[in-house]
Amino acid sequence: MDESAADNPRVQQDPADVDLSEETQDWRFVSQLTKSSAAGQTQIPKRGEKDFEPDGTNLQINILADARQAMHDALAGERVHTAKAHVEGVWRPSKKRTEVKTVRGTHFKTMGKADSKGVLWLLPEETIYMVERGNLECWWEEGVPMSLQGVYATCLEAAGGLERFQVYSYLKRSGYILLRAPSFDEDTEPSSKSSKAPSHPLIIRPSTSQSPGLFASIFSSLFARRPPPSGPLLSPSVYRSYHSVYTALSLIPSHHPPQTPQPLSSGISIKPPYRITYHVWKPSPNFKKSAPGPPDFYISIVNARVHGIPTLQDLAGLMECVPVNQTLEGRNMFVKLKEGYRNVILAVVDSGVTSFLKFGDSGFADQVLYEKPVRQWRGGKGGSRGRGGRGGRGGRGRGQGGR
Amino acid sequence: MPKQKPVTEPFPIFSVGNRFLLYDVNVVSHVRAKYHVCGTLSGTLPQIPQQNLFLGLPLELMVEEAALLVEKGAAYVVNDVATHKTSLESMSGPDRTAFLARRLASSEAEAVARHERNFQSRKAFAEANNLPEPTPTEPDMETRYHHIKTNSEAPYYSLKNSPDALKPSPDPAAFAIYTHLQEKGYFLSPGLRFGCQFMAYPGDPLRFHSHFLVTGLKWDEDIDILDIVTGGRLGTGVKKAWMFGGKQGTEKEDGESRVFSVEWGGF
Repeated sequence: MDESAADNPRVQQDPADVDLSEETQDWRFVSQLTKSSAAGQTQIPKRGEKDFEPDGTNLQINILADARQAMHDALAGERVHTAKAHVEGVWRPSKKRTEVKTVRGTHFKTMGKADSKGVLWLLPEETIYMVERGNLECWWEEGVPMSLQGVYATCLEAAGGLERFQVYSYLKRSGYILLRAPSFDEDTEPSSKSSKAPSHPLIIRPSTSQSPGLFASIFSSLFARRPPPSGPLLSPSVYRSYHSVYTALSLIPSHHPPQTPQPLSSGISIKPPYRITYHVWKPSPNFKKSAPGPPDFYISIVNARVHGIPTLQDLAGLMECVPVNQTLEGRNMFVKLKEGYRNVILAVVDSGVTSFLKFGDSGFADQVLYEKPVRQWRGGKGGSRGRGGRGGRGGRGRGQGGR
Repeated sequence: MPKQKPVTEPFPIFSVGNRFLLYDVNVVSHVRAKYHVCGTLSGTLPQIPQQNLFLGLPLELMVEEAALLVEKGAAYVVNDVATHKTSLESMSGPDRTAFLARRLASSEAEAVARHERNFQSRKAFAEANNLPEPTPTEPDMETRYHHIKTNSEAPYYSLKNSPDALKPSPDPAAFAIYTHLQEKGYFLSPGLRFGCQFMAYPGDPLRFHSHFLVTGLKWDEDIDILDIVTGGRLGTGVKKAWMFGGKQGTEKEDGESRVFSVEWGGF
């Protein structure tokens, strides 16, 4: 398993990888963070330095007061920049964009879009983000500079609401590059004609059968080659390998994710909220706004207080907007199952707290376990299409039920 | 070190798109100390903008938190989008000119003062080390600071005298258990990460770990035994207890509240 250790999700997580942002931090660390980062060595606060419960001692009360004061001090920090680094913009409500007067700084490498006249326009979420980190002064058309509060009141609705902006800025702070997906606007409700289920929500067929031809329907493959109702599951014959036995036993229809490029749906026909909201790229110095290349991640943002768990149809709709990841071919089985041939990241937001969940389109039935002992798995042998499946289990279940 | 300024109640909670936000750091510290309302900081901290451990203003309040503050008469809700729009429209031209002039003057005065301070310290250094006295220079206005305010203020922003009759409307069952635990002195925060409605902390989350994963139910609501197992196992798995509870009677009445906590016993 040496070569696959890095790929194997079952390997225990390094304790250093725990997500510190999961809990409220002690703000007394923030001054350390700002001070020492100037000296070049950033100290990350450790987890678990909190107390169990208040015990009424002066020590605890004083530490809490210090922590609250540290938080107050940090939050009172002003947004300031010098005239040299000053970037100014004007919010144009008619366009729902900010017109940038002077383009300075590195942020415009990944943000904003220039029109044919060479004017750079910032999206509302880009505007709020830039003001919030102290890099932009945005003005109203009335000739008044906006406060942070003013920017939120003015731009948040056009940015798609607070949840979307929170996820946008969270990822921007982590260094990712985000661009709006075609299905960003929720206003473009699906028309009645196209609001029906996606054309091929799922590909289901018994795992033994070859993938159906272009015109073969799902159902014909379901009814084909069934054993007689009274059994036996295996017709009396000579079987020279377990493989042929297992193959004959795979009866249960299962999902087969496409492994070759599929026509992409723009996602506009899908009902909100389960649509792709942003395309996300890992940070790269060579990123070009004009030619970003295929995104690394596809993100859909939902509000935990309003929306329920996505239905199978919601997920199938999302998957149709995502291209098939062909680099998976040749990777080991666990990676294939974990990543899925297509995957979508769902950002779930509850009152400012965000959780990221990844939904992958994995083909369990395509990963045959009986061909070789698991221990000898090497990348590149798995997933031969259309042969085999979870024969053993499926067959047994079927057999008991049919008595 | 910025001292906390006293807050006059009722203070405004700013509603944008039916989300409840606070921008004033004094109000944020005030509600935390007095009402045990922590909210969630969701903005970028300008001092250290490229990280997610410490976030800055605005502070988003849960709908339950906003409702509690309004119910106690400590706060009222303002439609911030409409208020900005009407205030901007009603601002007069002279007011605006005067405001912009004031703003520029204070920024320039600050640059001059900073320049003077620098000069004085250089002079003192020269004197102490027997160096020739530095020649005074003109302050460079390219180094003047642009300040971006956090809070909107007069003349482009003015709150109406008669507050909007906006009311946060939380889910009744969730709000009942929220207020009950609040009265008991707990600090509550959103529970999404642990699959519950709220996390309950025995003290300020800055210094204490949470003890309970909380779910509010209706008084007559059936509880699935599987939910008890799921909740109990989930809570115990993260060294907390799962708590559920409800309130008797209707929303308005003062009914009895009861809560139970479930832990997974390892026999």
